[in-house]
Amino acid sequence: MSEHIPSILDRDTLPELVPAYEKTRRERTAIDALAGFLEGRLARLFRPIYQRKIRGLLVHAEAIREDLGSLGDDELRAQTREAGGVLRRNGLSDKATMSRFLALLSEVSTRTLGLTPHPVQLEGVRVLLDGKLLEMATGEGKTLVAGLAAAAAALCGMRVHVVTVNDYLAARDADYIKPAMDFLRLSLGVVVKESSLARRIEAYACPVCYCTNNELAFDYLKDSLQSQAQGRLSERVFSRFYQKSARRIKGLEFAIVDEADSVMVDEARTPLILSEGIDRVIDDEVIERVMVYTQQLEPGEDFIVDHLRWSVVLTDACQQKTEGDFAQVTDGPLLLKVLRQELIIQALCAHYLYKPNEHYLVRDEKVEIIDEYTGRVMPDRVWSAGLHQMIEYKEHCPLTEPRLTVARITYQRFFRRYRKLAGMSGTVAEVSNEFWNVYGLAVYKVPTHKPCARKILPGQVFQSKTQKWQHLVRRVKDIHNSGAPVLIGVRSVAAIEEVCESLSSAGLHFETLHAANDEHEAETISKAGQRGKITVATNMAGRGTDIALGPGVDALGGLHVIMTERHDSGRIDRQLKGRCARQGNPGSFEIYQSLEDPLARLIKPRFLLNIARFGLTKNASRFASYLLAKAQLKLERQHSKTRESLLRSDHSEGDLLAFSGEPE
Amino acid sequence: MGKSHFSHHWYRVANLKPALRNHVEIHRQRMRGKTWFIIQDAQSGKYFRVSPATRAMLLRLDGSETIDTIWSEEGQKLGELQPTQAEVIQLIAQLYRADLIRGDVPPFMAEFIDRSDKTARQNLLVRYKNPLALRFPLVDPDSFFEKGLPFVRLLFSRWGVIFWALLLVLGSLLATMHWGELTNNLSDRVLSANNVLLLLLLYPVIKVLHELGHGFTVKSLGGEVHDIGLMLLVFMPVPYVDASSSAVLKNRWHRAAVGAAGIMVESGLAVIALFVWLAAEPGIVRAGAFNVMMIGGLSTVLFNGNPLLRFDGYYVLSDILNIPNLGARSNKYLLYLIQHYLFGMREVESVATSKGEARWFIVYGISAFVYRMIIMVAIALFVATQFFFIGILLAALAVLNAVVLPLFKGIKYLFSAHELGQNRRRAKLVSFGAVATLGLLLFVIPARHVTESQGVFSLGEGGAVINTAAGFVAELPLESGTLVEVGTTLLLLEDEELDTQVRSLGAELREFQNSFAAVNLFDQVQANILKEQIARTEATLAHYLSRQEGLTIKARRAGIFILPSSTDLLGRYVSEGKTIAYVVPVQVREAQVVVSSDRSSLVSDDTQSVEVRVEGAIDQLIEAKILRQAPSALISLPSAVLSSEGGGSVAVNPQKDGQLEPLQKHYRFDIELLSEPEQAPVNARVHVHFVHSDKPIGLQWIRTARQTFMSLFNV
Repeated sequence: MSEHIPSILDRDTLPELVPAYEKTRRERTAIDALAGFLEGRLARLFRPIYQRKIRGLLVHAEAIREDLGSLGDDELRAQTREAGGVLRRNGLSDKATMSRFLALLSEVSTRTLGLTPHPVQLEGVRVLLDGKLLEMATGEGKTLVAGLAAAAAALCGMRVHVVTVNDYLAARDADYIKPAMDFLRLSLGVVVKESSLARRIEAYACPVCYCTNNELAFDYLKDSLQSQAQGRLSERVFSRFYQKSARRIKGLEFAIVDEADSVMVDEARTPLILSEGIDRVIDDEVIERVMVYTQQLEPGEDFIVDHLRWSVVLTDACQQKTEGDFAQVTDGPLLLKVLRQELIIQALCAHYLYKPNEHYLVRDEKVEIIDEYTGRVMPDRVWSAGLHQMIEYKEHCPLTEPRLTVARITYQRFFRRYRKLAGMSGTVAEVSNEFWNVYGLAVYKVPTHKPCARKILPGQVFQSKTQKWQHLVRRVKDIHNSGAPVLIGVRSVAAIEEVCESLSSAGLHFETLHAANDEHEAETISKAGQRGKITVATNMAGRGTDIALGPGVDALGGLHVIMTERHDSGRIDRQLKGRCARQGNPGSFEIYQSLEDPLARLIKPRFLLNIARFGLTKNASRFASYLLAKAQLKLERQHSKTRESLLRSDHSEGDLLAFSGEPE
Repeated sequence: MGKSHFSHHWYRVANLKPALRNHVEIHRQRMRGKTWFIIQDAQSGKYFRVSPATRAMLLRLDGSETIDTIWSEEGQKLGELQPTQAEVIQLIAQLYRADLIRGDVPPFMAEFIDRSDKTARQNLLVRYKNPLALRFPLVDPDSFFEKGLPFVRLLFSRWGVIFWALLLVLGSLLATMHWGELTNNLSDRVLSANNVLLLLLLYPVIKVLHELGHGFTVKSLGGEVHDIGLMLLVFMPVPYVDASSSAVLKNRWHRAAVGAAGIMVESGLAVIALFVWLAAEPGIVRAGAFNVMMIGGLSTVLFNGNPLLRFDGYYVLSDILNIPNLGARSNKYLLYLIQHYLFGMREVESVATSKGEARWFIVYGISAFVYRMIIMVAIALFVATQFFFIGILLAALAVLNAVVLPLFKGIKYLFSAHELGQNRRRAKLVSFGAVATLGLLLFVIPARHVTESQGVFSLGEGGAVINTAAGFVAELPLESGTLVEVGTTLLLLEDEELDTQVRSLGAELREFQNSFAAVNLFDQVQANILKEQIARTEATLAHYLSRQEGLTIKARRAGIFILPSSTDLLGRYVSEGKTIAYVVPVQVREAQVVVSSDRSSLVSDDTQSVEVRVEGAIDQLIEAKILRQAPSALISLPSAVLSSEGGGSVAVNPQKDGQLEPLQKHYRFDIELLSEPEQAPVNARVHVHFVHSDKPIGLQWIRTARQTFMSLFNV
């Protein structure tokens, strides 16, 4: 046994008794909620004062910066680190030091990155340090803001997690800011999917760590699972003597969440589930039986597909029918009425709601989920309660083993545990209330550095998809002939195939970017702004993608973005729009829709659709476009409800499950 | 989606190995043909009812197996009835909260503390939300009952019940025999000032005996009593005993006996008091005995024994019916009916475990609700008439509890309840539809608006033959029942004194006239004097002559002459102003109607038509019109027929015997029937509907309520 006991002095491998710093949970009563609501209102009221205060700081900083050019590198570093230390002692409200600190950081940036932050960027840095949600228009250089804010926070003594939406961005942003960090002698960690356990522990321990929301939350989950396995308090106290694996994440101190709306709102709709082992409740035979059985059920008669709630409702008649059909079953899961119905509904969802190349990809006989918000493949993700196996059955893939849940957390719960939380995004206006209510994040909007030169062309609505593609091709040809690059945003991999077909038959050359060919992502993106390029992409080319314009493209009107249908949320649309006309460059945007788009299915009552069709024949597309926007709004509201109910059930179940020990 | 077999949170409980605590006891009980198990927590005095399947799972909770194993293995046995994961989590959580199991992992303390704070707050709220029933627990009386039981065991046994039954039979016999004495002038005796004091002194004593009855019964049947205390029931300190351990008794009659013990003690006391009352001389003892009867008998029947209120009677009923928690489950069942059938929430499950239960739930739920509402309003109004502000406060609180809060909760439920899910639309539609329909019916659609009152047929103007001058009846020229015209002589009186007076006055006049003629030409002074005298005498004579004329009584209108006592009238002296006979119209058409003051303005201002039904021919409806209205309130009713003693609807002041003075203000309206009734005896009762212009029912109610309120509080 003795060799297992690590040396007491070996602090790094010692697990801490208090595992990590976390905000203590507090019960929110009705009064808390009311107070919170009022606080939010007041904050909104006093925002101009706050804004004036910060702008004042910046003027100061500007003045100070003039004199810093003469400092030597070592001197600059020493002064910056010292200012951070002073702030750590005096608090961020120390105006004089803060303006000096911002000036120093700005100088550091100039020397190491070759970029002098604009005043709006410095403003953003300051706002992030206050734990607010920064709304900055797309293409205003959020990466620099986040990097400088992270460095500043680290110098003030906080351990910072910069959270991005995908591995590519995490690596890219970390690389981007690395010179500045190196200059300031701050170690920088990066956690991506491939990182090993040791690398992760090391990276999370750094003052600044770039990671993705997914990796971060899962690592946290694994950590808490590990400490949970220690069980009793006595075991926990003495755990340092026999526990070998250390925690990955040392504490939740400060997180800067890039693309906050994507991470904290969109993805918050599905909880993160850590699973291992095998769940044997539903075996392959049952899956097969249910899938075969449900094939003969008639849509409309036996069940109704509800696109809005993303579910299937069985009719009363069908419920009775299944009762009879499964009467001879004497054991197994199909005997249980509740479970049987659940499985039938799942199977119907697999048949009628989930579409290949839209919701999932089939690659190497494996079903991979496509994230609807980022358009990326989520290789580790599986659907639960048999749905994944049903889709595998539908796609004739070998059935994988269902997995057993061992830990679960929602993003809402996770991010609220940070001592300080800040976020950035270009698109938060619609969800600012949710940010305040759920995370206590107040939105602070900074203006654009240069006036935006984006041209928004009037959109068009078509009767059918075919018409839409025809017009699209014609339009792309026109632009292509002028030499300007075009980015065509489509919603799913399946749609890409349709577009490609039309474009190829028109003899156009183009690049594609989607979940199924994500290996060349960086390369495709780097070329997309070049003269004469046509790129077709899913919303993979959305958030964070910076398309640099090639030489001479400026004069041609910049990048032209065509969106081929509305997405589930208006924010995704605006992100796509944000790919053009970045940082004062020219660019234009237009939208092509049709009444056969999936969103049109949500229009109710149906006769409105006919009115819209009639309008289109008369060349009046206003009503049709209004209806589609309305349907999108409806869907957004539905999603917001889902998130709210997830949070609520999280609360009430937590209450109920208090006996089962601490939640992760 | 409805119910799901799996729970997302199963992983958090799957590997727990909880164990049932040692002090938990499980009792078997049969109810309505089904077996149930009562889980008793001896420490907290709480009871839970579970199904046999749940019990089987509970028994396996010994700390050696995980919940997942137990669930899947027991599930195998149960087959189709296997509970879902969520249900199991719910169960374990409930057990944990009730402290019936202990886990093998430390619980999440933050959550626990939060919750216990919340519960404490809620308990406090519950206590003060209803100031009409504040509870203050005092001591644990178990050992007292334990020691006292041997002394009274006989009383709380089978023999005690038989003794009580005999006592009751005897008591009720005696009570019926002396019913008149007992009930004579009851309200006066009960509410007189010194009696109220006696009542206040006796009341707590009787209630203590009542509670002891509960306590000893539980003890004698094998239960325990751990809480005794004071309750402020409508500000009246009343003791209470927590006899809830009767829940574990197997025999439902035993359980019922515990609930009924208090009533039995009180009614027994009442009978004994009856004996005392009958034997004792008037004095303090007799008065005390009477009060004991009052409390033990009346209050028991009205309150304690009434199953619609949450007193003893309720628990007795629920035990006898074998439906535990009858009240709460009735409400839940009614809610279920609404959710299931009106809101279309198919996944909601009924709380009724058998058909019989469901019927009871409906009957009990509705009647208890209605009764509670009535009692609530009555108590509030009663208190308000005594102490205006407290009463209004209480009433406001009662309305808040009974109407506003449920309404608010209902609306909140409709808009934000999670479980409504896809049914929200329909639920809203149904609820608001119902409210809208009700509103439409009550406040928009006009309805017939009628004032109902009673009246009597009257003879109308000139119907009574009234003597204008005193005299002896000299002649009856007409038979009773003759038709007469206006001016027909009906009867002749004579007054010899009057005749003599007239004669002598005539002579006197002549004398003066002669003297006047004699002196007129030469003695002017004397002539003037005589002139004066002549004038005076002439006037006097004229007066007497008119009185003489009055002795001939003529009909003032056409009709049938009716002489009530024709035979002995001749020669009798009739004083002035007396009704001697009647001239009844051939067709009686006039009636006098009394209308209470709160409706009189409505009747006089807005009467579209008048509908009359005559008693005796009630199905014939006759139109009428208002002739006139008496401007001042009635001092006495036009006929005894209208008083409540006479079968009418107007209460008269009993202290003014024979005067028929209405207790409340009433006004008289004279109406004339527009067509002839089949029969119309004078003084016959008529039912009159004054039809007003149509008005929605709700507005009519509001008007009535306002009037009632104003008259109650004299505002």
